[in-house]
Amino acid sequence: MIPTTLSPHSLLDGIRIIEYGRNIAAPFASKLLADLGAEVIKVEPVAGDPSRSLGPFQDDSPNPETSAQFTYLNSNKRGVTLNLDRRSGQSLLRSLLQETDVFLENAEPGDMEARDLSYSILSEINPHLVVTSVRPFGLTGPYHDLVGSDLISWHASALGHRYLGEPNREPLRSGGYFASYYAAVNAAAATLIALHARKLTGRGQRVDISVADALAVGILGYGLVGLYHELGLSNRRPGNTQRLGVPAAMLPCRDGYVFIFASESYMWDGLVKAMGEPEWAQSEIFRGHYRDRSPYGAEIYNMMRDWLNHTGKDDIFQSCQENRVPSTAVYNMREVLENTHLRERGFFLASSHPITGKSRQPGAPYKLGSTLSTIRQAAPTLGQHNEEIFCGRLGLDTSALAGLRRAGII
Amino acid sequence: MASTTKPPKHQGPLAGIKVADFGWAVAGPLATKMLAVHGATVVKVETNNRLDGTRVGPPFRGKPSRNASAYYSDINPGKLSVTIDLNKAAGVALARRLCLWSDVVNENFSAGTMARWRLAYKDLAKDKPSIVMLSSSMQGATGPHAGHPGIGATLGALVGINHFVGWPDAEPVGVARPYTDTIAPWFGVISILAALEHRDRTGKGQHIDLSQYEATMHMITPALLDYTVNGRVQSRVGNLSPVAAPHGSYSCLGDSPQGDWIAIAVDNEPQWLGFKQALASESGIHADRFQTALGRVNGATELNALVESWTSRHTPEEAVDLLQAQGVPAAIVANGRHLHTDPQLNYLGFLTEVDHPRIGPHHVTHPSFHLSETPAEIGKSALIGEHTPYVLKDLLELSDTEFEELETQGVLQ
Repeated sequence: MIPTTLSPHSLLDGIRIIEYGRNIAAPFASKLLADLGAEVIKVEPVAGDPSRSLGPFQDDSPNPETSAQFTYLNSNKRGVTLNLDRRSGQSLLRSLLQETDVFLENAEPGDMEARDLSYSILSEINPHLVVTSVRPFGLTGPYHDLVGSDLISWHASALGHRYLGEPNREPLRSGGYFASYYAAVNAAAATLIALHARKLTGRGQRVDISVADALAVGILGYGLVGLYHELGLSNRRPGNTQRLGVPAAMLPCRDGYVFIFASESYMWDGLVKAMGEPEWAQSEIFRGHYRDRSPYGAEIYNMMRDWLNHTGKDDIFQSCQENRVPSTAVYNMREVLENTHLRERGFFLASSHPITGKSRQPGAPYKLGSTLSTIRQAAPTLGQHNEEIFCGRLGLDTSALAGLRRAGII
Repeated sequence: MASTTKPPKHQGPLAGIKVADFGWAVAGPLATKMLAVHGATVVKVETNNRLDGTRVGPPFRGKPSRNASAYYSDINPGKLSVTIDLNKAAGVALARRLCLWSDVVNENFSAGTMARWRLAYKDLAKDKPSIVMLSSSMQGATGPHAGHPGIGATLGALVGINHFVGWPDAEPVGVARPYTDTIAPWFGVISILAALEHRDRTGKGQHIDLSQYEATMHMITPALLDYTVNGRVQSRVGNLSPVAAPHGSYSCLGDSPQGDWIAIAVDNEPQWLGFKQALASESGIHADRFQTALGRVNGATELNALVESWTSRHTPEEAVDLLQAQGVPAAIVANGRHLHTDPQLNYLGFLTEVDHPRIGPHHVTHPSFHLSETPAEIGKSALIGEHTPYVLKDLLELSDTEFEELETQGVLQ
């Protein structure tokens, strides 16, 4: 039996969510709400959520119960299985949805409609239901039925083309499943807005999240579109400099890379001090705002080489911070995770798993009062709560449950 | 001061929620944008003595001026603007009155600033235990790095994102945009709304300490887990995936200055079969070693060259059609022009036209989700201090005399 600890914070106590999520977008959205105290029941296909095979796995040894991404994304949830391609499976889900506040899902485009689980059907069964659907390109519109993927959503947002990469090489993406994680946070926020709306209207509604749009609007919208439209500027992938001024670039140093940024006068003055007040930097023509230093970019970056080549990134980071220069070292994951700041903030939560044992997972990025959050419950094993939910809540008897299992419904 | 400007009524889903917004630049105000466009009453506290970073940021309509920035307009639609000089005691007292009238206080000042004005959470909660306060900062309000100066641009490096954006054969490219500014606000919205749920049930408020650094960490969890589980430090892989190939962006036919590209991700066997159908003309695609996922990942360089020789004979649109018809995830790598003309994005109303007395008609970005019954409404952004009389007299119920006195003392600057 996995030990549970009561969370001291249950902001969303009493809110009930059913999640039919695969991989990242819907599962992370419902996790954010589960971590705030909502009750989440995760419905998986009989073969399990595909992220059970996503890894990373301890020692790269795949096991559907030990995928670190699955166990992280699905902690604090109960889990059941349902075959939604069968009518009895669809019917059981509809029964569950009658007594819930939110249905959060990221099925393939068209699947829910094909299974008699469209919004119009669900809202008739339960007019108070908020249905949050995450799709690569949203629920409607010319692209809505396109097959998607995290990479596709990323590049469809223009983020790669405009910002990531060198001018002469292909547009890049950020590592991991950035697009999906980002859309998930949108989905959680939008769901809470819809739940709040229910207090005023007495009714639920449909919440439509497009992963590509979430990125396009969220990250690019204001800068890119405004610029393009108002001033007709063309795109240029800037490489590793910000091109807004000098210095604003990632630069090699003795043992790695640093990102040096000094826009305001006081930041430049601080940077000069951090560099040990070299004579070249004391020149009056370099003082002031970083836009004014742009014409001297090549010269300044060249002169900085001496300091950079002889100084380690941690020292550069520290002396910049001491002189109020918002510059930083470029860290890899080990360096990020081993730093004391995150540990003292309690960013990592201790987790315990029946097979892989003790580990740590990221906690919420917000601290509520002075209390740290905890993991109340480890991610469910496949179908772990079938009996509790189907028998306990829907009133099926155990032989009926066994029948469903034999028939491949659960 | 101009005559009292009464804003139009918006009966959105968050109608009735009152927010005192001390947020400045982007990260702070973006969270309250989401609230304002859904009907919350958001009062942005500004001052003519030190303009918000976005009021002085381009693009401007015509000559740069504090009321002509489309950047400000995009981050702050539908908010009321009051000007208060917080360097004066009477200004601080007025700000306090505004906070105690509000349900939510939003701020992203450097550590200690609100406390200096006795407007910290503990100061306000004493008089209003139900108050919800969101304090956003680079790295959080506690811990050894609390108070470190930072901006969104550099945070990506600190978080570790910059390290793995780039190609394996080259130095890190990084992310040329302070996009960490656009991540934290969503967590801000979640935590504010959750805190209000709690307050509605219990009457108790909350102080939320949001770290932009930690919020951004949540976007790269796979790399984080690979380290905590396996001690492995992930590095730059270009567009590659460790488990699937082809996976990347490929050059197509076209004459755009920065190239025309398509993104393709073949994530499973059915998609691979469909992909082969589409690329039937490329004989190399049938090689034995490409018929398993592992074989494709190991042979990615050769496979990518093959794919690109096919894509370079088609425009992105053609290639997408051919691939999607076979069930393969593919899409145009969008650029700015696409965002403006893209039929999908325009269908969903990604850009809303808003009229503004100084800027004229222009486009403001809509939140990236759609609620079917209670949609967002994008109101115009405020001229600086435009609503000072309305907020003070109508909302805070100051008398005419009180108002005039503050004006004479130069507090409403």
